[in-house]
Amino acid sequence: MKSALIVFLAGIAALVFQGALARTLSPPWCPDFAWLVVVGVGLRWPAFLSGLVLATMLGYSMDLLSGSLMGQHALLRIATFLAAALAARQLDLSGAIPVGIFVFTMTLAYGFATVMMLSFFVGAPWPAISILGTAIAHAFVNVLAAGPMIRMVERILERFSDEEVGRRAPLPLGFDRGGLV
Amino acid sequence: MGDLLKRLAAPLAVVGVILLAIVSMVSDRRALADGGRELPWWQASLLEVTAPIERIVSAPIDGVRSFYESYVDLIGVRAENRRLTRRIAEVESENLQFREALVASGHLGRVASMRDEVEIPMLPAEVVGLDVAPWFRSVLVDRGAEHGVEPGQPVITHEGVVGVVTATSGHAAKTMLLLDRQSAVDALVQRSRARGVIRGVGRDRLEFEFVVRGADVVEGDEVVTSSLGGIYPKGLRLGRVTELRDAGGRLTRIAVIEPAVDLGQLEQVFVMLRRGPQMDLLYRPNRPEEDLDGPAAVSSPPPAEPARVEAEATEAGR
Repeated sequence: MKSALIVFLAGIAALVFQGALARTLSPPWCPDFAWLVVVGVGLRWPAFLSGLVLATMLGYSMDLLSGSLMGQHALLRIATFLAAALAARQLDLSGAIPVGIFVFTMTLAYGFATVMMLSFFVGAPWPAISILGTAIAHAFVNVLAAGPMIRMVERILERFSDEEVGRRAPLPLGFDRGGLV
Repeated sequence: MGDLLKRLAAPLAVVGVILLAIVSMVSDRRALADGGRELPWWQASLLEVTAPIERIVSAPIDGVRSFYESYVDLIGVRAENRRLTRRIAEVESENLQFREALVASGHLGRVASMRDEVEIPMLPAEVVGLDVAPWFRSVLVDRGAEHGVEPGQPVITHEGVVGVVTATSGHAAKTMLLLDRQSAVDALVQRSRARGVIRGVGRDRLEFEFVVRGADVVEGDEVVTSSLGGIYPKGLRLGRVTELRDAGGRLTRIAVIEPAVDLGQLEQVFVMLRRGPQMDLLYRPNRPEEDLDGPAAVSSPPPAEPARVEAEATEAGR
């Protein structure tokens, strides 16, 4: 409970900081620190339900400070959390390169999903190839910032959680690190 | 039974939060269509807390940026100063000629009285944060419902239109910029009166879509608000045409517009506080003659808006 509260506050602090930083670094070049907290929670959080609630709350907080529809970032952050939790159970994401590839792919997917949802819900223009440049730039800076943010989530868990970092309740998904769940 | 519930807890929670998010999006979409919303207390409280913190966090970052920009700006300031002094002299001379022409045609008095009637009270606000996601273009300003800011009110600078307020809390307001993909403004070309819609495409340029037939749009044309849509009053500067694109044989064409305001460097903006029956008259796209004899003027003294006055003067001249 304590660790969840601290991660939530860290996520809000990340949101505030990136909002202020965006005034100097134009949007694609400003990492999405708060999203990376959600990725960290998905990859390292030991309990599924509290992680899901955290991702949802951080998503709604992002919606408040962004021009998105209320619930849009929440939905995408839930999807990010689920994808990260699934990937952490199915793949070996302990090294920097696999995590980097995962973050890069997820950022691209997040961007395209955001624009597609806007087109669907508000009739905004459908995504053109030009958004690929923005998405790749943003994915690149997110990869650079991913390590420290995920490390921060791990540190909070180590310091404030009774549960062992990396121990997760198994999901009925099939194989878990080479072994049948 | 307990075991079953335990096993179903995770899938049920996932379905629950996804449904919650989708319902939120749909209801927010409806609220936006109705001109925005005042946030409920639990959402407003987070905005109330984060807006001042963001302002404090921004201060050192802005300080470093402004120091660097001041240094860079000093380079060539002498030449710039000379150029501007020359330009002021030219503009003053032009201004004098225009005034002479207006007095000669008897319009000056009418334009002045019209300005007195339609002036809009404006609230200065400071931008405390930019959108945290690269897919949206919005800003957070430090004035909210307590200061009279309401969703649907236009936000401008002395250069032109910035955007529209979409959500408010007590002391903060979220403003959607023109560049946002959700933004669409009815506009017209100031020179030829060709009408169309300006849309944000999520980048630093806008797109002006207009009907090809009979439309006269060329590079360098100034595009202003038309007042259709009921958000922006007529004649506010939106931007300048920089490129014309062929939309591939359709009935419409696209002009690329450079926004009048540098939306990446916003610091101080003005919220147009629409109030009173005169504002309603101003916001009506086609004002019938009888309505022009409506009730008396609006109270507060705003800074004059040159583009609007210019458009009104054009109207008066026609």
